[in-house]
Amino acid sequence: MNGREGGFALELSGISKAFGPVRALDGAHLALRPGEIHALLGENGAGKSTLVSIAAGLVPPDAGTIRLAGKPMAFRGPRQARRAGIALVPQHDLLVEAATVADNLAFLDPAAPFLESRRARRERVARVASALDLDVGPPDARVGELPVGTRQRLEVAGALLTDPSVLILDEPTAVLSPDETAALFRALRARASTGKTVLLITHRLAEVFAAADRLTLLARGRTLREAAVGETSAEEIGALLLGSAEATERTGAPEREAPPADAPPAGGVAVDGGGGGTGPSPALALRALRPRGSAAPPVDLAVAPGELVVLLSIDGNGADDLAGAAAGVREAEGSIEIGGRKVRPGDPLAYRRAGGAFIPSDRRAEGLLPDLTLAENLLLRRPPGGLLVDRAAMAATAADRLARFGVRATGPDARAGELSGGNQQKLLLARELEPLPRVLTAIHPTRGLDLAASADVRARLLDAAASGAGVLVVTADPEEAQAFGRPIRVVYRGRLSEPLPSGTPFEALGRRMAGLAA
Amino acid sequence: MPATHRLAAVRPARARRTGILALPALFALLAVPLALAGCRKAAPQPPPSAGGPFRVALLTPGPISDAGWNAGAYDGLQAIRKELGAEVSHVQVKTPSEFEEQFRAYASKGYSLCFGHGFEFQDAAARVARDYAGTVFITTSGSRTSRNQAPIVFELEQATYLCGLVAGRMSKSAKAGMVGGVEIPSIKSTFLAFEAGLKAGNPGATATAVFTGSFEDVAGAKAAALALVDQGADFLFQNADAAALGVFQAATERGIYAFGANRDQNALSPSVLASAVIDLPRAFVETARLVKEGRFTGQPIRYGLKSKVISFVWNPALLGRVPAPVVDEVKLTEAKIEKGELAVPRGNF
Amino acid sequence: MRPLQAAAVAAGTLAAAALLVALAGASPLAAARALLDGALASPAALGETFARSTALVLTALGAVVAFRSGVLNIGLEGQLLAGAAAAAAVGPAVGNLPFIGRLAVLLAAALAGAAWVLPAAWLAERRKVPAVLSTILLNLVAAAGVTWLVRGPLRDPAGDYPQSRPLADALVLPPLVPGTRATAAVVVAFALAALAAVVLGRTALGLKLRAAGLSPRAARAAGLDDVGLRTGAFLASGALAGLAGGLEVLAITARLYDPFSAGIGFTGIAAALLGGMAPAGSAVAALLFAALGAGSSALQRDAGVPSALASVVPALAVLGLLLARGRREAP
Repeated sequence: MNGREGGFALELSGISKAFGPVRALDGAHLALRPGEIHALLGENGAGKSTLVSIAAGLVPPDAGTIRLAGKPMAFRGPRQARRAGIALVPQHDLLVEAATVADNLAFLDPAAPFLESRRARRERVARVASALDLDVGPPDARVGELPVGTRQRLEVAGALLTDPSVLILDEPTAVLSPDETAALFRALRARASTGKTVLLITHRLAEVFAAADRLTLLARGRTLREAAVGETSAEEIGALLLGSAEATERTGAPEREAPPADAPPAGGVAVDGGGGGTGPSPALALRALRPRGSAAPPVDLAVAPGELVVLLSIDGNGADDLAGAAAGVREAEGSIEIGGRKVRPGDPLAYRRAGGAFIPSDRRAEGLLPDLTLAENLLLRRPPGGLLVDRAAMAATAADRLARFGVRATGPDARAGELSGGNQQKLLLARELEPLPRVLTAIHPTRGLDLAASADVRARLLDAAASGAGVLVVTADPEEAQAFGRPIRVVYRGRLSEPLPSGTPFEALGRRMAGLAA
Repeated sequence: MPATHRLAAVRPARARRTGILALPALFALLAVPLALAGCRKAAPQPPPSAGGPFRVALLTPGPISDAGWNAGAYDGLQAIRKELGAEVSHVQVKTPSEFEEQFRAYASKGYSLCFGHGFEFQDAAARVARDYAGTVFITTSGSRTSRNQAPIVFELEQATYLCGLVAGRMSKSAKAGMVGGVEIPSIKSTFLAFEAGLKAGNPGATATAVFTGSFEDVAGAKAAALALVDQGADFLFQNADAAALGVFQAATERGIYAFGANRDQNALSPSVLASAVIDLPRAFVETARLVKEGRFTGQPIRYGLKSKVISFVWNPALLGRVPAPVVDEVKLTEAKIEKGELAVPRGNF
Repeated sequence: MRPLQAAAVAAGTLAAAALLVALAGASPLAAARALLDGALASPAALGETFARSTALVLTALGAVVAFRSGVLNIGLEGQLLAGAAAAAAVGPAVGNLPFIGRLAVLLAAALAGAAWVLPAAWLAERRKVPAVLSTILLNLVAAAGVTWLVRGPLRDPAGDYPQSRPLADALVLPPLVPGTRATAAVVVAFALAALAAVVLGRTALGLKLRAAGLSPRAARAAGLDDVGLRTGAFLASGALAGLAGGLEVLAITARLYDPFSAGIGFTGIAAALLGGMAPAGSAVAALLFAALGAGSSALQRDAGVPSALASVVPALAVLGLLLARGRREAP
């Protein structure tokens, strides 16, 4: 089915790879033609990342062949793959935060001379920005201070410096706004039209059907479907994805994908009820809160018990900072109240004591402790037992919670770092939602998760709200915002829009996120 | 809904209480072995050293390449090997903890004699000497003694007395200066003897002492010496180790005489008229001989002019400038001291 | 392949050590024998190894507690000196009541070690001064402090040598086995190693400390008081090093001297690293370092290897061990 004229830019066949007892790939096949945009789809843990890591020479396969333009290759490392013309843009960028944009771009350029003037490095930034039509930020800005979207464009620009015949992008659009996504796809299309190949890992079916030529669907380490986009439909692929996910991932989540309509939940108060004297005190009330270092106006926001509020914004518009400030992990001025109790800003411990729970955007750096076990992660604050931790009780409690939250793992003694992204997020939910918090702040809770896992996380958050918690969710994905079925407040440059119904059209949300329309 | 209320309730009061309990528990844990340890027990197992070869060990606090204190001791050890046919071993030790370790190791191997080269070896030697009656422990300087431990006492004062005598006879201003490193009893004792000699040579003469606080500070010693010369001193005595060079420089600049101490420093400067010298290797050999021949009594081993371990050495280049009567008087006094007819005062330390 | 590599590394280090010894004019075989004899071959040698291990085990534990909690405490040497100084200051004053006196000496030593950490802890948490830097500087201050104390306030008026007054004989710990230098201090050190293993591995506090060490940011976001945990671990680490100094005075030296420690605190860190930052492993590694130390002093004594080289040979052995281990862990 794939052998039309045999002229593949890159073909991986019969690829197998095991990490210890885990079979990540089991005879997978992937064939890319010159001049196409190819989408690689699959649930979390299907083996997508492993497959592209093999293609880019980061990981050697246990079995299988790699052919680049028909020639068999055996990469001994990423440099060799890069020289052969395969460039990978990883999902989590590997930029040097303390260095400037110009310096990072120089690091990424294999052709950069050993010694290079600062001017030459700055000029490279300008050259790249105009040639590739990518805004990579000011040359002298420190990368650590840039929004995620810009950092990613910088990494893409770095990969394109060598003009690779195959460009692989791992989840490039997860952090981009609709406009930025469209711009990226325009650039990729222009690239494909010159005969180069682009491979895209993504979860967003809409993007696949709007931008890709062909797709490959992986499930449990095998290739489930290879097709031209025109030969199939979003519905078919979506069903295959969910089917494969459900087959492998036994979730204990309430199977409730379609949330109820916009009606406020029982016991909730009006969305903007803030400081009003009616009803119970809000679960979370932010008054004139301004994250330190932010130029945005102070924000007032209230979330009632049982209410879920979605903050929708492009990264860098202050929604993350605002939510971080609410949870105390960012210094801020103003006041925070939880259940009517004042909480000192910038003090995550006070936030916790008042009954707050928090799901940070970076689950690996700020959420979980990847080197600790699942049980330790879950029961970190209060492990069972007296003088000594009762390990049996700890394992039993953890196993029970892992099962109820649908975390797929070898057991409570597995390390959190070994889990796939979706399972890590479920683990975090299992820690933060039990016992039920008074208020939960969740930043990008479904970023990088597959369809099934995203749906599960959303259902859990809605469930927490239904049980009486106030929930504040930050997302950059309009579809995701809509999927909650709860009021959406768009954040643009730190300013909150009025609550919008979840049925607000996608385009209208996009315009607001870009600051175009009221 | 009820879950919301569950939250605030359980703080880990128990955990806090265990935290408070942990401290005393910890100290209880520490206390048990300490209490069981009781007090020092009497020491057994003295290995007999009789029979086998005569074995001698040396512990030095610094490298034997120092061309001074440690090198002298090492030369002494080598001389013991040659002259007494002993088996010898040397270690350089860094911390007091190692002193005892090495003494113990040597004693347990049946060494007959262990030298600890310095006052600081006394404690460790005393502790090990209790356990090993068959080994003799000698420290160079110090005061602790027992059946099998004693210090070597260098009566350098006998030679510095002669330095003082020369200064008293030859000084025109009747004033002498003394430059010391750190103000410690052994240094002050040599000054005491110098002053006594000075007054024996010229009852009206006076000596002034200055301590720079350092055995290494050459510039400081020079400044102190110049100040003494400015006050009228025309002879300089010193006991300042490496800083002595500063005293010699000052003496050369002002055209006056100085004395060397501890080693023969006559060649170091044209201003050194004579030196009060300790012959370390000889002291080691003589001590080892004492032990080997069974004459060691547990008393401090004193070496003065008579033993030739201590000597007064003229600078041959300058001897011509010394009046003959002075040279004769020094020789005469030397003989009196050797015979015990003249007791040189020394500090009590 | 891997065992072969490890064997090659071991052989290489051995060859290098033998060559050095031979170049210095001693017999490599005699040196090897002396090394073994000095560390293990007799009760006295074993006692020596254990006596040396006391301070090493405790400073290694100090390193483990600090490093595992995310504090790079390189100042164990200084904290040990502070503990020793406090022990030498308190010791002569408590007279000759063995039990109370010893407890007072050790309490003072532990407190002094912890107190020596305070400036570094304050600088780290309030002024973002890296603990590596501040603790290294405090090492220098502590060394200078000991120099001053033994010549100034603590100086023993009897004698020339700069040293503090001795502790009463009744206070000084007797050997467990007569004729050796191993005292109850060894038992204390290994008991504390066991305690540290239990606290770090089996208690809620240990879990929180490890979490704070692995990721202060994640621990804080999860509601743990990372600042408090770090500071507590830092102080405990200093107290362990201080205790090492106190026990050294109580069991071995009975006084404070000027060069009191030849880098025990640094060797302790090396032992902790070799022991994989686990209390049990570090205690074993400390014992190994102690054996090598005792063995290397025998190198000088029995094989005539010069002093400078005698410490190089065990260092080579450890280097070889690390190399072999590194090989094994490489992907």
